[in-house]
Amino acid sequence: MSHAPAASHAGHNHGSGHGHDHGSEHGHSSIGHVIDHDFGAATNGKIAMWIFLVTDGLTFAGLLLGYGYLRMRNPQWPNPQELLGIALTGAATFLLICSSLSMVLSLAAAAEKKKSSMLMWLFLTALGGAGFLGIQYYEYSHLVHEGMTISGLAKPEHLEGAWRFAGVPENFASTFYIVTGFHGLHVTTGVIYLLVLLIKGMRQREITPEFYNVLEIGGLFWHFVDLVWILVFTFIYLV
Amino acid sequence: MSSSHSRKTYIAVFFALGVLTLIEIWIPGFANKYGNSASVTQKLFAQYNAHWSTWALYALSIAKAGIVGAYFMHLKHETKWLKFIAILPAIAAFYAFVLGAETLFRFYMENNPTLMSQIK
Repeated sequence: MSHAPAASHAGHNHGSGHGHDHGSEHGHSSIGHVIDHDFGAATNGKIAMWIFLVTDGLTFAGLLLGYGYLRMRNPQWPNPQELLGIALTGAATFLLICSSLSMVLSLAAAAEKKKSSMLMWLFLTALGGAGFLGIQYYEYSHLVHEGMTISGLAKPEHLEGAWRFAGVPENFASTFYIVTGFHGLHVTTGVIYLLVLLIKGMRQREITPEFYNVLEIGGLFWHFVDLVWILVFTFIYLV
Repeated sequence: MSSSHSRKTYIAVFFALGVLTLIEIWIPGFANKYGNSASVTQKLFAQYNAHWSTWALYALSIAKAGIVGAYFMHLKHETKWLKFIAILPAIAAFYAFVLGAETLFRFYMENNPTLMSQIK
């Protein structure tokens, strides 16, 4: 329970997570500070973020199931590695994994009240996200140039570059853009979220337990974006 | 002020994710070169691209997602209830299984006229 030492000063006693400690030594006798029987020392904000992530995860699950259905019912579905750039997307995947590492390192620095280290890792995390978006922009612009857009695929007789897509079902294009685009939207949101945290962090005179909590919640969103990409990358690009 | 954030664990997890990703990227090429052919059962599965490599990729991606959840999102240190809530979207795997099983069954029946006529 005690992976967040700084937060233990936020008026919560971590205790055993079974509600034995009620933080009375801090003078908090109000019911809001009781360690929750089911959720231990997890703050309300953290539980709320987890519930949001569950709903978001189910949205992605719905999109991926729809994609899976369309693909299974269509024997003409191509081998995605032959049409999409695996090396480039592999690099983007690695970049997201790097940014997940820098996010936890930022949180570790925050737990030790090392502000400048926390800000540096947080900045690198946002930079990793921005790099991912840059790669996605590059990938999309190439595919669009070759005639693959969200509504379908250009025919080779209409667009010279579209020869690669001869015989490919149109759903290949739509599902690709819908799933990866929805994820890209999450990365965009995540980068903005990280930049807001960065500005908030710069304004802190010192790292408070409250700020640590806010940073940890933001980190959950960012790791979720990484986690979903791990699945999207496999299902859309590799399988 | 000491921290129970273990940087060693984080870096180990990072390397594990990197290595698993490299294996994932390597698998499709390897499978196209050396395997994923040709017995009758495999042909059945091949119709829906469900080679051994597909299952390996599924397993690797789910393992990677689990590692991110457990270590980077600290689920390992959360209570049972929070773990349970976090894992709820995995119910989609059940729908995926039903979808896959039904599709394969349909394919199998459509390619076995004798079985089909017995049902009729």
